[in-house]
Amino acid sequence: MIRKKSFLPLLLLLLGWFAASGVQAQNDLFISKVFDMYGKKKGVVMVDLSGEILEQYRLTRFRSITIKDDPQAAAFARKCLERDQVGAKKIKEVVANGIPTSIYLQLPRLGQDNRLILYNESRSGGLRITLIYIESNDDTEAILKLLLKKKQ
Amino acid sequence: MTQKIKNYLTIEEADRLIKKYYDGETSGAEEVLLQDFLRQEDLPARFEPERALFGYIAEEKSRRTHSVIPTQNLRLRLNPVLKWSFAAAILIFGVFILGNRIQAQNRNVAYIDGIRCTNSKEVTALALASIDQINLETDEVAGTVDKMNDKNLVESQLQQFPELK
Repeated sequence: MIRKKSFLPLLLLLLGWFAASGVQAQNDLFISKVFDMYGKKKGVVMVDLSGEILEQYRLTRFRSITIKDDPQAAAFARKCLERDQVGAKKIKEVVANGIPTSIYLQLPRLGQDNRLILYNESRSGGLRITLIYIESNDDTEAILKLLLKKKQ
Repeated sequence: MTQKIKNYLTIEEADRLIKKYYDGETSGAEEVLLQDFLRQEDLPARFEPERALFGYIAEEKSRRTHSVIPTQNLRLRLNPVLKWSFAAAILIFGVFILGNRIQAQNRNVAYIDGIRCTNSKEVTALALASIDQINLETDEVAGTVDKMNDKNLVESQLQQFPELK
């Protein structure tokens, strides 16, 4: 009887834990709303990578979104970044005419994951914003070095 | 305790209580006494109707008690469809969570103008293109990171102000 009674809550607890551990680290960030809201819209390119494909880059998660000609989305992304800056280390910020056009943030570690947000806003040839979220077991320096290497 | 009282209930007392019972004036304790009395064997045949009545009441009471005690399991015990539906729901939930986790561990997807693309080469190319769009100025970023990781940063900056020493 006791075994029967204790089985159900245990099972539910186990499933709950399983579900909770599957929750993504990025979900605690405001920028996840940018991906959710604009990711599948026209004029937007969104990339979401994790697992084996990123192993060679030593990253555990890569999300990026590029939004073209949408000033509202740009304003929204900036607001989200402002919120996510709380408690984060700012690696770089470029402000042009009072508007941040380039922001790199190192977020507090979440478990083993080192997390970075990269944001860029370009107005040459129309407004284009690019927001990247990265998770890695490596430190920030190693991640940025890797990205720089990829760029060159 | 009940045994003692039962022993003291005489036929005259039982008659009096039965009369009281039919008048609806007996207390719970008195009814228990009567029940015990009527359970005895070798009672005069005239007690047969009361014995049957009290026997029926006792049986009903016991049936009700049995059907009340396992209330928590009653629904599942009586309704196997509900039980199996519940088990299936838990199983589906488990499979869903497991599926989500596996999917989360191996994401490889891009949305271009809302159109889903899972071609890994194309997705990787788009990821690299997004990195290209970020204005990473090598020296500046590397310098900042170095400073962030420099544990002696404050000390080295204070060296610029020898008068503070």
